[in-house]
Amino acid sequence: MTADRDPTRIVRSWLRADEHESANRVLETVLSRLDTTPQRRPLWPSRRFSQMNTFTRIALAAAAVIVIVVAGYSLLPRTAGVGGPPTPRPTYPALNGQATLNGRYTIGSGLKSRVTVQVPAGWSASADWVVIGPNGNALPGGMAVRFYSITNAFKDPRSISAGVFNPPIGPTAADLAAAIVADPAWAATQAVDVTIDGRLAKHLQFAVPASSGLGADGQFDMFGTAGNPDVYGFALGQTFDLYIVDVGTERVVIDAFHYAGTSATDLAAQQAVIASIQLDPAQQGVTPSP
Amino acid sequence: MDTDLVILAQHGDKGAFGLIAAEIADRFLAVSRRILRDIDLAEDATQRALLAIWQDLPGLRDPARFDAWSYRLLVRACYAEGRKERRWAPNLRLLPVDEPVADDTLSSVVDREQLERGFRRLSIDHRAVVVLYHYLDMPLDGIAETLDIPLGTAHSRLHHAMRALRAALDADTRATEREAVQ
Repeated sequence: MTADRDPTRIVRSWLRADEHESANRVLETVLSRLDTTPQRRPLWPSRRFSQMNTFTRIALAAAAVIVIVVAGYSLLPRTAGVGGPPTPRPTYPALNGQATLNGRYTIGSGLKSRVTVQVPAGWSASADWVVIGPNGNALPGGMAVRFYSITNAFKDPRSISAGVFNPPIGPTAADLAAAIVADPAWAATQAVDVTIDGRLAKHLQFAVPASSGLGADGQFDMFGTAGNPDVYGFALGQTFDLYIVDVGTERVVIDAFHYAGTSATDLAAQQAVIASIQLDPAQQGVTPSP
Repeated sequence: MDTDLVILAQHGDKGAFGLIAAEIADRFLAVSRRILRDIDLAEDATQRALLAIWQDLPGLRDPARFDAWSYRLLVRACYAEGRKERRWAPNLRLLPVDEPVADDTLSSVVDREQLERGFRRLSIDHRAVVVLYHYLDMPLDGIAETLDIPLGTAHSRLHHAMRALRAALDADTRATEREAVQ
């Protein structure tokens, strides 16, 4: 040891010596808990409140309670819908294949439900139902999120000739999840319950096998009608997180895919996109989003 | 931090909050790990802080002050997790250091062990100031704002903490010199 060592430099060096930490696991947990963690909204500006005298505080508090009770009572009949928001949500631009995205967009895809999603800067769109990460949607580090509604699935995504499920899969999210999980050709994980925008959803994962995972048609055929795959995987090792949710009477499928080379930062952004999804059932007499 | 995102998140936009959380989570984990010296506690503190940010964002009066405000919640979360550490692990023992030494300035494993031991003797209050100042390069007035303490208090905490860490290193030096004489 030498006597002229600089403790400040040693402490700084020591603090910076550790390896980089990744908070992906924490982030995933936090995002999954947002739906069940309400925000605390202040009823009035606390600084002004603290400057008021006691009488004014009590009077204002009493008035606020009365307003809340009256407003709550008057809103009761109009908020009886299960899972629906108390007030209409604002409108957002339609997704339509934009080369650059940044903000909240309304998904098209022929969905009857109103589905919107917040997309970070640097992402792009493919048609009106796919948002693509900043590194594209292909190997080695791409990713995307797709939104659609389907009526049936292929029994073996690697062999379109095996046809679709017969009898057809039932209409609910649970029906679709159960069919995929029970079919060994999909090799999917067990479905777990999650929430998306406060609605119960099924989440499961599966992948295109890394070797010889594509069918004779060069695709991993997932959903569609016999002989006509509407939704498919297209790369070996492509990994899908499938979220299936009932929105009113419509079953909405959200698939978020990535590859082994997709960065942790991009995966976290993809999780954030999933967490941002807002779902509203179609209203009778209202046409779907353009 | 992008104030537009903060405002959106204040109004309940989960996507905007997700982007904010994705941007700050790694840094929060790094800071809390350095304060708490335990990765499990640091993960819990980071999670606690991020959820507290989400819950309390509507009450943030000035979105431009998000950074200082969010670090304050992180340090509070570290206090809470630090209390948990004392409750469940009253007899701390020094864990083996297995990370590679990244800088010649950190000249020996003995230094690291002495620093680790000396740092763990500090209160969370003092550790937080050391980490914000020497790891994040936050100025003392920024630390005072972040921790909601007077500037003088921030200064004295840093001074006290560094004196304690210097003493820990000097103890190592004295022990080495004694060995050399023998």
